[in-house]
Amino acid sequence: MVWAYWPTLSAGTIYEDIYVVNVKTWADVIQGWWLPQPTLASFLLTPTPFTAHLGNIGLHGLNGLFLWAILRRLASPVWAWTALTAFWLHPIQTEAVAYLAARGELLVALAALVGLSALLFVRSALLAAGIAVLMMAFGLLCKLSSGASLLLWMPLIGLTVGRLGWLWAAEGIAVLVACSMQPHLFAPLSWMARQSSALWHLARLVVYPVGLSLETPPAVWPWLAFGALLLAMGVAIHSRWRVSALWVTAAILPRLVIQQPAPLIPGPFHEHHVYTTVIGVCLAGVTWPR
Amino acid sequence: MRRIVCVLVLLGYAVLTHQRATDYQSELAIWKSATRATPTFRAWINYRNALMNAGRLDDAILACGPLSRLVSLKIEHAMLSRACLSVPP
Repeated sequence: MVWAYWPTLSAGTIYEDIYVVNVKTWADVIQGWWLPQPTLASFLLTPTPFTAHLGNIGLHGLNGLFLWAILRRLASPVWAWTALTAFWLHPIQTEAVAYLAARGELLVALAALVGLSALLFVRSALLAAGIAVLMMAFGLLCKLSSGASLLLWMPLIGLTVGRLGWLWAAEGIAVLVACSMQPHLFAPLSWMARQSSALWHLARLVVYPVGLSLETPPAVWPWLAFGALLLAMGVAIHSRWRVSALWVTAAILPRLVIQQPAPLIPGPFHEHHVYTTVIGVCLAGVTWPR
Repeated sequence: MRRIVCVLVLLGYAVLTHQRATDYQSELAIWKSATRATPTFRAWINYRNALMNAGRLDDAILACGPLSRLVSLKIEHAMLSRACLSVPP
């Protein structure tokens, strides 16, 4: 993994990286308001580009280890190791690690994974719930729009519903709600849901290749696309077809193997939004209840 | 056999990731890469700006060619969208 991301260590700052590295005054902290924790940490610790990139690689590594531990508990060792390697090395993860402003995505993922780990490994239910809630709050502080990311809510979903597999149903509902919102009335919430929902990104896989856009709901065809996607998932789940993380990323996400999968995700600085989607895919692929 | 295929796929991922990571070394590298893979208006205008910031004015002028074609396309797209939505001008 370190070799794969080695070129980032000699990189400087690009685009919105200044909100993570070059934070010198309180005005700069306020300017990076959508990334409260990373911006504040940068103000206090004053990292260099090298240490910031090293931090991103470290966070990615740590996220992989937590994911492995969760999958190791819920699935076979083979799938856990395969998913770990795919998660660490898949090229779609590059931007989340190489782009410093994507620090928020890495931290949100860490918060969600720590919360999930608490549910699985901490014996005291009260302590596990406390850790999960604390991690959710931390995740929100790392990136404000993560409130619409169901991955962050997974620990609470697991606590209340009791079945981690209900993630997909919850994701589907969240995306349908986002679709029903008129952008000019509920722009911030629908934008957040669109950016963070795993199913939204998967639906884009369906419609983008045929030249359609999912940026202006409501319209008929996004509902059809979501309906088709949910139906396909329902069939796969009902037939107890278990999909490993590797086969999901290799088969359902083929365009993400190539550089800058246009027009799936239009250009750079959007690919890092898929980071938590990949985690969701890994978890949903091996943890659907029998 | 399946394990061999799996390992080969994962090695391929590592190589692609290593290659992709080089695109994020500078503004110029990322937008140059974007104009090749996703030649949108956004990619070309940011590439042009990165060239100007790097002092490569001749290359920035050359980048205006594809940019002007995209501007025309963008205007056409906007007009078509408004026609479809029946929004009064």
